[in-house]
Amino acid sequence: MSTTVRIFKLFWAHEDEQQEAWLRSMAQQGLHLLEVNPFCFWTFRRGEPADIVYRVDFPNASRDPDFRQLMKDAGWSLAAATVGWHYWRTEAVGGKAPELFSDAASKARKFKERLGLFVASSVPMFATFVLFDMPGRLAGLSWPFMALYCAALAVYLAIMPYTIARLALRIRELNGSLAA
Amino acid sequence: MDINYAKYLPLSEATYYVLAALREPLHGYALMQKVETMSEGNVVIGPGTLYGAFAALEKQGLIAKVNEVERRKIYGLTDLGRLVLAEQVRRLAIMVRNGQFALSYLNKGEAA
Repeated sequence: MSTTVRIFKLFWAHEDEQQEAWLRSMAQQGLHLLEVNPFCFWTFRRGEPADIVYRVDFPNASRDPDFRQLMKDAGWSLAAATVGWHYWRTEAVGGKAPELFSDAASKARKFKERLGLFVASSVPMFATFVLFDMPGRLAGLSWPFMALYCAALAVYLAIMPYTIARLALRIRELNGSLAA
Repeated sequence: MDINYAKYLPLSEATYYVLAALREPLHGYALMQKVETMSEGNVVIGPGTLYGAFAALEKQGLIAKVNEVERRKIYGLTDLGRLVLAEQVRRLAIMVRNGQFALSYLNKGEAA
């Protein structure tokens, strides 16, 4: 039996809880997260089943040594990291699952930063499209290239607005659950 | 000092406990533990939330770094932080009195 298992699994940007629940259930089966790559291949190490809690975070704060020290003190370690995503883990104590963000306001703030990044990243995309007269250039391309380009654009146009809309909904849901 | 308290209040439960726990300077993890004990387990602050709260409170000038021990920054309340906490406590005391009054009135109605 090989010691590592590689699984392909996609998640949307707003599905933090789904990712966390999946990683925890994998650990309960003895599959411990080792690595994740930007193409959504997850590598697990086979080991003893354990109740390990995973939390997804964005790497903004992780650059700060103060944050890393705080995480270490609080018993968290970085299980895996990929472009734009960090996976922290800690042991569940008495079935209780510790949180990185203990109130809805701070959790919503985390998603707001991410939403801002997505929106900001789509601006240059559209700006270049208009500024460099992409439709005009496309007309000069040979058919296979044009088909390829259009397919890539179609995927982007389908994924980005959906991602942004779902993230915005997730933020609204968190804000709605605010007790204050 | 003339302070516009509306800028700071009401504090969230987590922020309130951060300020209250900082009556003596502490580093992040010690503060997390203290808040859990102080609040009798009702408030558990996650490290992500605390990190954000520290950054916001430092920017607002309610807390400040007073020392650094073994790579851990130690924060304490500033004068402004103490005044904001005092104002929040004053308002909370009124809220508690009103809540208790309402409950005792309602309970009396039940007994009758």
